[in-house]
Amino acid sequence: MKFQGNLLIARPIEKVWEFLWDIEKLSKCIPGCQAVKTVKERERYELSVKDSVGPITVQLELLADVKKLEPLKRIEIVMQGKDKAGGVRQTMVLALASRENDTQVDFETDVNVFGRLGTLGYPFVKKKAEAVIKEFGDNVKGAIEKNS
Amino acid sequence: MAKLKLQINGEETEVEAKEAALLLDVLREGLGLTGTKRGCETSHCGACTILLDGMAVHSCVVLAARCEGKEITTVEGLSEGGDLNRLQRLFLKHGALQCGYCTPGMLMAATALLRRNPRPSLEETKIGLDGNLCRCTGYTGIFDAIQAYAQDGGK
Amino acid sequence: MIERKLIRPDSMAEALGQREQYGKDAMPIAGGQSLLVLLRNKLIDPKVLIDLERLGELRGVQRQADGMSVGPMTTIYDLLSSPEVRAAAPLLSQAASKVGSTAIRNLGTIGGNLCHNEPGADLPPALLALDAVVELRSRKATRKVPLREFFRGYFETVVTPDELLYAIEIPTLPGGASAVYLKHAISAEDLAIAGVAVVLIPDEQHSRKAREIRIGLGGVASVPLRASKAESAVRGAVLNDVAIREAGEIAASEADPMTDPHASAEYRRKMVKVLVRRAILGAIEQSERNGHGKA
Repeated sequence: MKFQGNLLIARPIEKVWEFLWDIEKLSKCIPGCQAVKTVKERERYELSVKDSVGPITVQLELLADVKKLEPLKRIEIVMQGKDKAGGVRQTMVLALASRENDTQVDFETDVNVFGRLGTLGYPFVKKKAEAVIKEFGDNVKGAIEKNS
Repeated sequence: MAKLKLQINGEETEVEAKEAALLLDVLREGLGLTGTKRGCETSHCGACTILLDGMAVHSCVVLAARCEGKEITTVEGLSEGGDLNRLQRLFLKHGALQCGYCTPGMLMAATALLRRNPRPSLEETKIGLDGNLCRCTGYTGIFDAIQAYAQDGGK
Repeated sequence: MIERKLIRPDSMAEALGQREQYGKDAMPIAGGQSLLVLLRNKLIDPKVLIDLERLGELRGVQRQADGMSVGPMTTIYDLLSSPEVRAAAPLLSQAASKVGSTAIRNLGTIGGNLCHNEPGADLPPALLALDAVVELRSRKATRKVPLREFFRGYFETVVTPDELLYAIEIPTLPGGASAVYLKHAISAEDLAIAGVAVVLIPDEQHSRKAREIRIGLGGVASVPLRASKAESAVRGAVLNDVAIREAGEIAASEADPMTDPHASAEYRRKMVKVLVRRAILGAIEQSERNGHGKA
């Protein structure tokens, strides 16, 4: 499932970049994120995410690897994880650009769901993925703009 | 865990199982009755079909606890004194099986169909077996066998 | 690991007490044909299952003054074998014949089909077109909810953790009404890629004029729905080719389908257009065959 979008954050690019690597603050923006651990700064992180719709709950243990990092410009991440009913693999590309004193963040993400979660739970997973990505974006924008 | 009293192929059996155990698992792992197959586990393929009070059901989506006081018939219960019954012999005659994995389910679904409707048309046969998938035969042999059984009045 | 409990109440009072006691920790199980698939494949993990099988009062079809009351534990096979259903709500019989497979129809229930609310289920669009009303009971209260307000989202309904579905009331259609359910799916057991139920109440003088038309759609949005804009557009109109095509197009625009491994959103929308048109034509033909409103 491919999603894309963009955010305009009313803060300069350095502030946005700084925020994106502040794992404590960033993880609070991820809906359902229960825990995050830095395995290697700016390279590898572990996350625990839990969410539910109706009777279906998903509890994912995710490993996020930073594949590419261009300071103040671009981040490419791959996240993989398992749940009791299947697995998820998500690639995400974030591109930053200055717009005067604001920052435009363009994102492109591809979410693949494996196992029974992907087949039996498909409509739920798809709607949830869309909603979660949007909420994440809104949360990040809100959190950065509230600060500094 | 709970002790279940089940009536299977005319015999009373006692087996210990988890409260919410599924019939397929109890039949295969609990009782060693492996004639009933585990296929898709999502109620589509019908490899797990058995008869519950004469009705075809997918045992992968039946609670074993609900089967107490009811009659369970599995493929092991079709043979007559150790010999294949007439339906089984017609399956062989009409090429209704290749790998054989769907066959127990097909036999049970066919048995249930013929009990409800001793002379099904081809269309009714297809509907009766609509919950049983076969990857090998293309179904025609299976339908031929059932039609042959029906034509001779099931004798 | 704590073993899952299966509790088997013998009365509604007991069951409702248990619903209240366990709340979100428990899930009621009707036919189990959908629930046990999710359970088996670890998409759900309730601590407790409340087995409704012993609640005999929840199973059966009862004739009422202006319609029919169907118990939620009535199996799809019960519906298909019921002469009352065939006489009073043939649309429901049509939809019931399309549910799953023989084995699933043997154990699956009308209540389960509604409460599970998986997109592509067959009974909801038919029951929506029949203006069904459901009765929900908790230990403290009873409420009636029109089916149009019952579905909330994927796998979600308005049933609260302390409630059980008690009855599905189906008003009888006025004399002269005809109804058609059409389902598009690749193989017999599939959920509908698009499911369309049309009820046509023709003008008394003119079978091709719609006094009222009801269009129920399934599998093409996060909930089953009535295509109310399409219905308004053709109400009172003569159902010529233009009007029928328009009904299909408007109904397709009211759908909000998803792309999934079975079909794309565009394909689903297109199927709504096609099936609405075919169902309306089928309903007109049925009406004329029954000798109603022949000019």
